[in-house]
Amino acid sequence: MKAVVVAVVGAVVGLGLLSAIAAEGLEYEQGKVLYDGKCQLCHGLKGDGKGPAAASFTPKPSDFTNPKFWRENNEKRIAETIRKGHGPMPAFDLKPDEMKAIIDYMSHAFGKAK
Amino acid sequence: MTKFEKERKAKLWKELLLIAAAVVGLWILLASRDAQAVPSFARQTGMSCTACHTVFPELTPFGRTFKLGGYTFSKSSGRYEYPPPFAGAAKFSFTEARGLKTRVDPFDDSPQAKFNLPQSASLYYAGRMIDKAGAFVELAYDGVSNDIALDMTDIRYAHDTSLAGQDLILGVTVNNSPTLEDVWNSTPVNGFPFAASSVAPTPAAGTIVDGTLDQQVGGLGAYAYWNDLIYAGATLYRTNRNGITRPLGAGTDTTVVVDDAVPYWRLALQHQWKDHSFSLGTYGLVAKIFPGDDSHGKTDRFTDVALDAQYQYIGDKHLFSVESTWIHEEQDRDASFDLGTAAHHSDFLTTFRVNLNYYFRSRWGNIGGTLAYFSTTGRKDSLLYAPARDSGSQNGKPDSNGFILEADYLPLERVRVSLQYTIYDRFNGAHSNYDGFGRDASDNNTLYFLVWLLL
Repeated sequence: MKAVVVAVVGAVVGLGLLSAIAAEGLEYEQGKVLYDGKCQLCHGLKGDGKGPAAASFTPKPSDFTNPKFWRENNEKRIAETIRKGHGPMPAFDLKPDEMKAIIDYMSHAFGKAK
Repeated sequence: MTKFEKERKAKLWKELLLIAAAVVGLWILLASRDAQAVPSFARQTGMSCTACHTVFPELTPFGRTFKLGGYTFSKSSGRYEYPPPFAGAAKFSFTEARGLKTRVDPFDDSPQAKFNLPQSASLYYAGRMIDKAGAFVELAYDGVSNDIALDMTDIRYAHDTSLAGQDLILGVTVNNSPTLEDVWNSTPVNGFPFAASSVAPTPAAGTIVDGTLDQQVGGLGAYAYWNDLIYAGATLYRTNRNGITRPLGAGTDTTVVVDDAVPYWRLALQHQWKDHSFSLGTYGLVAKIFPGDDSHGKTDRFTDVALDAQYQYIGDKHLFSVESTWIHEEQDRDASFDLGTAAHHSDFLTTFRVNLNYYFRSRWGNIGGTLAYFSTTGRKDSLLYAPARDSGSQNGKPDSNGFILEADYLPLERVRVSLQYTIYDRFNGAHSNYDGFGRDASDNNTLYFLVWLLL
């Protein structure tokens, strides 16, 4: 009986972990899709601020690979910039989960969590 | 419909357009300077017009990428744009050239000899349709001919992916003019002059890729843009006179009829650094065209090979660009020779253009202008370029060259006021008495004043 309980608990925990990892993976994927569609044009595929459209703008798009960017901006501030726009950058009309996904992706792909 | 009814209808159209333009113009002047309201691209992206254009219609790197991306970049994450991306434009102009009133069509019969109010008025569907598909479709009213027709049309689907760790845009386009799909302003459809008089005299000779097939053909093409470095594209066109492409020529008489498919190609290299961008490319096509207005029998064959280059600097206050193209066309005129309308089995034309643009972004708007040189030369052919009053050539040469000086002022992002002067040094083969009836090249020098509104 004890072995059955351990097995069931183990399976539940394992499935929970797997689904959490899968959810994180999905969120990462959603963030990447959103980043590629909304940000990459100016900030670049590598997040270095050298996207194909970067030459159009003054000031230049932010470099997310620069540690200084992550020192000066927390998630709340990044979300506010995305929501309200900044300089030539437009204000994006994104849902809260999309906003979270995009910031998580930026953070993992280019920034502090890299 | 009687002539009286036609004239009445035309007058009503003009009055309606004038009233609409006046209302919209007033609205523009009274409205805030918030450029995000219209046109539709600005509304969709939430960005100012200057994101896509240095001075419209010249594209910035953002504008080029936006177009390659199928006009789909949006501030919203929805599947489609709401409200639908409609926009408008109107041109009001004045043209002055020596002798226009007495001898050059359509001035002889036109009551609006010099003022074209409006010269044209356009309605656009311009923006994302759904997901990765977008369109730039122009329905235009021509104030001179009093006709409505589908003008520039470019419908795209684009997919963003990566190759070798670098960004790759893959796309398909359906459009109705060779070079319309291009994103640099060094190619014919998108090149300088961005606007010109509809009624001023123009040289007789021009290459096929240089506007001859505009709205005469429709095509399906594919393109790829990799690493912000290499652009390659190819499109197959067919006539708009009949078949599946007919809607792409709606409202336009198909007077240049191509046989079979017309392959068009484009290859360009681009480099961008800081505020600068430079591109170098080639484009061209091969077209078999029925001589005259025919659509059967033998055809003439035209092979156009072109080179182009563009340099662009976008500073905080200063904007500078140079655009240039060279087009060489080999003409196999067997069909025209047999009909007695060409003196040789083969001819050629070479066109060269270069323009320098400078603008200053002041607190009162953008101010600047363009200096341009143009030249077309080719083989003498006394039947193709026969003597005729005003529009012909006494010596049978197609050679024309000259300069265009243009001053522009944009008090608002969506209002362009231009004063353009075209100076001909040579027209249809000669500097003086080019037509054999005493008309000199300089008699075609044209002063053109334009007010261009985007709505």
